[in-house]
Amino acid sequence: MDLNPHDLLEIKCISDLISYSPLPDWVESSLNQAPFVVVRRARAEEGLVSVGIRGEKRNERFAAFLPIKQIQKQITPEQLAASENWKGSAKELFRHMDEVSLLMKKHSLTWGPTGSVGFELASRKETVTEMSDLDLLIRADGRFTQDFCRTINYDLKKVPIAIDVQVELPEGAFSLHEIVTTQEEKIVLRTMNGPMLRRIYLELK
Amino acid sequence: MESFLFTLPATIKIRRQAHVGVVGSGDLEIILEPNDQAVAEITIRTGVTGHQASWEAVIQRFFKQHDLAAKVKINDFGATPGMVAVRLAQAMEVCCYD
Repeated sequence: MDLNPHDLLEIKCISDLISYSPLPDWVESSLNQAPFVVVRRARAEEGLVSVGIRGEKRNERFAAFLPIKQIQKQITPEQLAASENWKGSAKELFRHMDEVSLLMKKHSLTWGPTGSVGFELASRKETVTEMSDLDLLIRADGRFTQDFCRTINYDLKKVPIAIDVQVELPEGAFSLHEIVTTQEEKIVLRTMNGPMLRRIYLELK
Repeated sequence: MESFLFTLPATIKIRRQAHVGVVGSGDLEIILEPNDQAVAEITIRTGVTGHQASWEAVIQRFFKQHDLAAKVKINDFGATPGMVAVRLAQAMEVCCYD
């Protein structure tokens, strides 16, 4: 099973989760409402995947491990983008998803929503609030020069909501905003071994 | 929203301002400026409450190691301690090396 950071995994039972510290009280009620965990960008032992549990408050996040064979269903950000099941929602972020989707199609990008928007689309549980921004991931391909990043960023700025894009490379993800605004050589790459400073643009071919 | 201030003695003057990071999920923004006084003053604003002890540990570790006399503003959007450490290192690269 090919699992990537930001994939949402449906679990059957809270006891399938492995944690070396006690689960906070909110974890159980949160999973009872929506039995989904998110794949974290962190290493796990053979047969396990690093996952995060999301509570209602911003400080309610908990890291655990899940045996891969206990995964009931995997939902990728790309599947959420393809499903377009934001249609009909009155929430502002969802009302702008069609615009975002059209922009992504215009540039033939492989993309999907993550964060609270992705979670709500996958689980149907109220997660997006007025404070939420739209988190997106885009999978980089051979076209990803800095100029191409600038073009995508420029187009996304026309959508009147806060959009936070992570561009995924095989070795990690960087912020679209950071690569188009930085004056410095190095930017942060989020990798399986943690975030690190790297000269990203030289690696884009 | 939670806000706290840490002040530590510091001796090394920095050359220029640094503004690094991203206003976005799991990230943070750091603005680091020279300080005429021999202290590091670090103001942190975060929407993720309840982590003051972790912040103190990360900040103490960095500023004790690097001894920078600076005024530092940090706006946090749910960064991990690892991300905070990398962004602090990045800010230092910008303001201390050409």
